[in-house]
Amino acid sequence: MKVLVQRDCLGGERIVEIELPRPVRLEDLDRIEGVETRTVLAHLPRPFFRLDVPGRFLLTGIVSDPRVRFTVRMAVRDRALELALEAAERLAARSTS
Amino acid sequence: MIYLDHAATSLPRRPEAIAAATAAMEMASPGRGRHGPQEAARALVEEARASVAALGGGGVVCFTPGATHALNQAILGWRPRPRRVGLGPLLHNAALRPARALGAPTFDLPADPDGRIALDAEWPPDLDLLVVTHGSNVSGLLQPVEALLERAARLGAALIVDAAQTAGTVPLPEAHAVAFSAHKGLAAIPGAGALVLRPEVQLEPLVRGGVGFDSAADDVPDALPARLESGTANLPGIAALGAAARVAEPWDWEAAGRALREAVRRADLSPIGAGALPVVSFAVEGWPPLVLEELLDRSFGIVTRAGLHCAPRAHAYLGSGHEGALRVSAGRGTPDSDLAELTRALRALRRKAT
Repeated sequence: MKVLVQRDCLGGERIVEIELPRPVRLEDLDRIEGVETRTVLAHLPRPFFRLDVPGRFLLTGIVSDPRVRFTVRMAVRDRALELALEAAERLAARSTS
Repeated sequence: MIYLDHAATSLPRRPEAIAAATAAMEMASPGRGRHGPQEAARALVEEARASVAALGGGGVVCFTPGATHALNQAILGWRPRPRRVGLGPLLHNAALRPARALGAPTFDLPADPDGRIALDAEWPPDLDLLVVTHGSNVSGLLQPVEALLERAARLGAALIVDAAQTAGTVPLPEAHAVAFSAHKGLAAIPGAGALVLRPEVQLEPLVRGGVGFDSAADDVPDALPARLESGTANLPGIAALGAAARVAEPWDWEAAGRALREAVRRADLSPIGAGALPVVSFAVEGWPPLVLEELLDRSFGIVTRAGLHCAPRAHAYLGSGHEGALRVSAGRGTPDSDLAELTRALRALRRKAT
């Protein structure tokens, strides 16, 4: 797990980009908790996904690519790295099924 | 990569600019000493100055580290200190922040909904300095600088113009001070720019130091450009700027602007505000601009720019002040196929997003 970028962005949110130890698979997205909206644009040249976790973060990335971006909401930005790493661990965890 | 961020910096750079900068890396310091190598460097600077003067502006070319420095120099150094400053609606922070830091009362120049300054509106009689953007880095709108200069003259006001988005694209307008950088429309390299000043303009220098002559004097000379060019010159940057100015042939930027707007409209999206330059901002409902930027970059290899573009005043005026917008901007070499790919990408996104 490698933290690539941490920076503030417009509106007081905080961006954390993490490189996972392996590429993201679609089924990995199921392990993120509290997802309100899940969007997967599978028809794009490089399929793009977006998970909205209200009050916490927006998670975006490319399927089959290890790099993901967390846009952590302003209310919890002080815990941005912690939240992002915790979710990244879930993404990268080996499936038990 | 499809590069649509020319409003930030133009890529690729002009080969002539890179060659000139590379050659200048091994040259002496211009105006320092009387020896041959400095003479060659001095000649190069003056040649660059003449080439930049040919871009327009109608004044003395003073080299600066960029447009931001040039605007700060012009605004904060303005003498006599302005009583009231009129501010254009689409200012970039490079002009807005120094204008506010002046501490003088300001006046928002009335404009139409697209930000075009209304020439027939009432202006306060004590307005003595106007600061406007020639071409908006958000919407591509061009201000009628010539008419603004006439209006300013009737009021006895001076006009400072931020030409960062237009230098190398549109002929530089005449004004009391015109500021621009080398690395955008001219496609030279970052770290250089110019402030073109009417000879009668009095500025308090932001930086003082050696100028290569009059070393025994207490202060820098009054004469331009030396008054504003203290310290060792950025010879590679100036050489590149001069070379780019020399080869900056006219191009059909209006057609490029129309094509870019059409590329966005073909995806059923609406450009924010009206404009003519090949700079267009837009929003896609349900998609934060930053996510859109990431998606276009990572899924399609299309480089764009999300956010407020260092121009929160412009976004606020145009109604996109909350989270900004996604901006696409084309340059001289942008092929039609890149715009077609942009349309295709935006359509693909919208097909699924709606």
